Amino acid sequence: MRIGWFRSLAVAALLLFIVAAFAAGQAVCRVVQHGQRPNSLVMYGSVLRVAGRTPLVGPARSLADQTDLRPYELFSKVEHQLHAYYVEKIQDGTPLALGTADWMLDSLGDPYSRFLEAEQLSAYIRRLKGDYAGIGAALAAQRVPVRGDEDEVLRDLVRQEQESGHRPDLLLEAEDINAVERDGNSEVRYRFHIVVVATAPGGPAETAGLRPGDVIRKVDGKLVFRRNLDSLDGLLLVPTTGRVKLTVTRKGATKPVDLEVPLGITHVPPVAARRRDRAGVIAVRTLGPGVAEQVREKVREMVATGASGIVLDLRRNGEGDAAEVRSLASVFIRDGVLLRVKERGGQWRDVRADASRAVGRAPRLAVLVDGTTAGPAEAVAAALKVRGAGRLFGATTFGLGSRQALFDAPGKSGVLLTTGLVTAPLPAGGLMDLEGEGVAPDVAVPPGAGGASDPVLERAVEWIGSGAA
Amino acid sequence: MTKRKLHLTVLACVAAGLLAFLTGFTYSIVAAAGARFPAAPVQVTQQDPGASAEPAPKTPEPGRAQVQPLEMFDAVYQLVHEHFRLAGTDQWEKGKRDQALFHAGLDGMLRSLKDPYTYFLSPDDYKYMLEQNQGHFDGIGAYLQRALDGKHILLGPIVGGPAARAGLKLGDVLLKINNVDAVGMAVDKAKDLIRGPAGTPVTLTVGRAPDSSKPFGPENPLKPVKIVVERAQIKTDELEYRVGPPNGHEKEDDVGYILLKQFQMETGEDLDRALSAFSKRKVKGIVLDLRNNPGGLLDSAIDVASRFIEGGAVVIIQESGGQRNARNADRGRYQRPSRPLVVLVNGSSASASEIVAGALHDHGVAKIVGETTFGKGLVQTIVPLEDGAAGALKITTQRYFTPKGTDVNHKGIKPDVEVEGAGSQDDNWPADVHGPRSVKDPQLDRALEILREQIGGGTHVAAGKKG
Repeated sequence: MRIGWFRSLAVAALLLFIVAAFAAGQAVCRVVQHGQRPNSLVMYGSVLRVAGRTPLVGPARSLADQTDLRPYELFSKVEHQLHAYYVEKIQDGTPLALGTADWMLDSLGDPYSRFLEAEQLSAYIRRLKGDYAGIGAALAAQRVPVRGDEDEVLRDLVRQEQESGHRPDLLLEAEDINAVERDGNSEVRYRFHIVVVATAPGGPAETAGLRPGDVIRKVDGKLVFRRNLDSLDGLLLVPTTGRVKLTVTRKGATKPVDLEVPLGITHVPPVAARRRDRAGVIAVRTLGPGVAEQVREKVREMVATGASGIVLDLRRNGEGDAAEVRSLASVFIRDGVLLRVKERGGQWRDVRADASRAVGRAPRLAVLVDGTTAGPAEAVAAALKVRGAGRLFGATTFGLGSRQALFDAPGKSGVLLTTGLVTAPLPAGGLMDLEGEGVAPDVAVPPGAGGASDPVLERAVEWIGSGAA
Repeated sequence: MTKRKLHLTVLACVAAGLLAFLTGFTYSIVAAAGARFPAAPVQVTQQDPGASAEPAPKTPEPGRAQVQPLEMFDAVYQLVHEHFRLAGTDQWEKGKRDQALFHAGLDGMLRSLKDPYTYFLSPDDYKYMLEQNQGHFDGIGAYLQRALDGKHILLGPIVGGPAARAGLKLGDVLLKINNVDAVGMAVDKAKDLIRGPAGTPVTLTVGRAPDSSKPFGPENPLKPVKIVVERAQIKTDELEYRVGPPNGHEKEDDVGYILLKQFQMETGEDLDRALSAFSKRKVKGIVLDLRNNPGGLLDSAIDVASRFIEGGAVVIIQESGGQRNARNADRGRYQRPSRPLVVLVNGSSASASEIVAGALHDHGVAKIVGETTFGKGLVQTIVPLEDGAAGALKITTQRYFTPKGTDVNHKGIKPDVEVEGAGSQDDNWPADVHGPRSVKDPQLDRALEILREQIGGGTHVAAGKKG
């Protein structure tokens, strides 16, 4: 009897124990999943170390900790509804994710902020190292305000297309816009033009006759409209085989120009140096990672072998890493403020010279610039000009004064974001704007002057020689 | 109890506990997974190569990194928050940008399916769609359209509406709304300012160019005119009817003509009114004009078909799982219009129009005349988010087939009698059924001719027929 009573107590205790263990299992699972939920919202803000150093952005915090989760909850609800209701089974979430990122960055209305799919990102990084895939060019989107007859050419192209009966809905698309800026009740509408910034020397684009400043209107017979910078990138700057038909409009030409450009890989050495008389000519074609260090070496070499000055050729330099700007300018400027960058929230940040980069005594410096000098290269030219470290020869630069940083995103993709507006502090006070303005040369040299093959270079070499005499 | 036995018992207890613990753990994971994917979709039996003119989505390359949409949304959302700075402007309100970013993320996810009918509706778009479906709203009864210069807004008053009665004309350029400058204003904003409760006034200053045949400009400057309009309930009347064809003469009054521009909630009742008017006037045949009708509500299409079909399937709906269900005609709605019926269609008759045309054709109650229809054999479902306050999703959820099982998608409905249209008509502004018909309409002419043959009068010569 005593034993029986003890037994039933033991059985009850065992049952209780099993139930408790079951509950404990559930609880632990919940804890684990709670641990996982914030995990799926991990911060992806680590800046791609293109330059081997972190650009000027602070440490990133997880927003999941500090903002309301409503957008996340709603987004995930929509995702589930899409899976549950869509007429076909959605096999792979990846295209959904890519579409999400693409449209989000599009909604910013900034032509330079964009999403790079994995293959676009790797093409971009290769380009910074001097390997141009596709047509061999640097492209950019420019914001153009939509006005009355501002875009007659586009209208004509659309009309042709409609008359040929291809797509009756094209006019609507032509009216479409990329960005709207609202100020109170009024709005200004913008369309993006995709412009050739620079062609790679000796590359297919240059050989086929594509010119800097050309606006790309058609690719393989299809009109280029809204949201097409990303897809153009994929068509023109990623594939390495085949050919592509382009229709471009250019200043001075009354009709659109048709071109056929083969696709391939063009290697352009980021830094190439040679001697011209007493000048050491250093051509810098991209401001990719490590370029400043290479330039510094070349300058030292040239000075050591008796060059009395340096010609820094920044033409056909359309892309680069914002972090390289400071390093390159610091080769020629030992200290002080190089540039002032307006950042998020209207805060200003000074970019100061890095004394460790400077070469002993700064040599006499000529800088070659023109409309194919864009972005980081322009910033370098601006700093050299306002600090009086070099004399600028050529023509006004492209006018891309906003600074982008490249971030990594899930799935080996990348995000280019505009993080600041670059200006150069003038010695007399005030700031020199770059965006939309560009940097004007000290000595303007028209491209065809003097019958020389490169009159800008000739003038610069001449100037270096005159200083030495 | 021996020591050994006690050990074994304790060991068994610990093992049982461990088992229970693991069971609890696993149970929770399964439950959570179930909650994550509520109804796992089943593979569709009939694979249709895409529902659009757009290129098919890229097939995932082997070895490509898999990314979940939420993970990507989170990454981009945070990056923009932390680092983005719009070049040139500072005055983008944070709240609005966040919302725009969020909406774009949803829209991008939906649009990545490359189905032109699956996308996100912003709260404003959703509101507008409800109004469209409902068939009425409070306002002045005018269309607003951005002028080609990208700055001005043009007015297009609806015939017989408050705006038209107050003297506003087609092509008037909106300059001011209640003394607020409207040049360069967003069209949505202008719409918001113009709309208001019925019975209240709104003062519009519009510009008119002296020479209406030329675009306005420095040589043809706008002259301002101030007009006060009293707002009223506007019925977005998408069904119009007339005893006798448009521009017909009295001899043709034995034919009823119905122009149905869109399928809305009240379309069925509107149709009843038309049919009873036809009965009173003893019309002998009916033309149902579905040309340029882009569709509308599925229920409305079934409602409309029910008037002409005595029971049976109107349409066969195929769920994403593959099972097919018939949507039957509502017998209580049958109107016994025991007179010949011709349905006019063209390449812009889509979706609900194709359902009705297909049903009437398959049941043998109408002759289809005109051109092959658009070919949209897909049904969308509107899923409001937070009761519409956060917008809505429009998702393609089902396919449909005509009662005899014909797949309409991409193919359209082939008319019984093919007649080409007279060329392009200006579809921007609704045509007036009661007004004069200025352009030739060979499709309508042929429809009337066919009705005559069926009515058996035989003596009439339809308008426009040569000889």
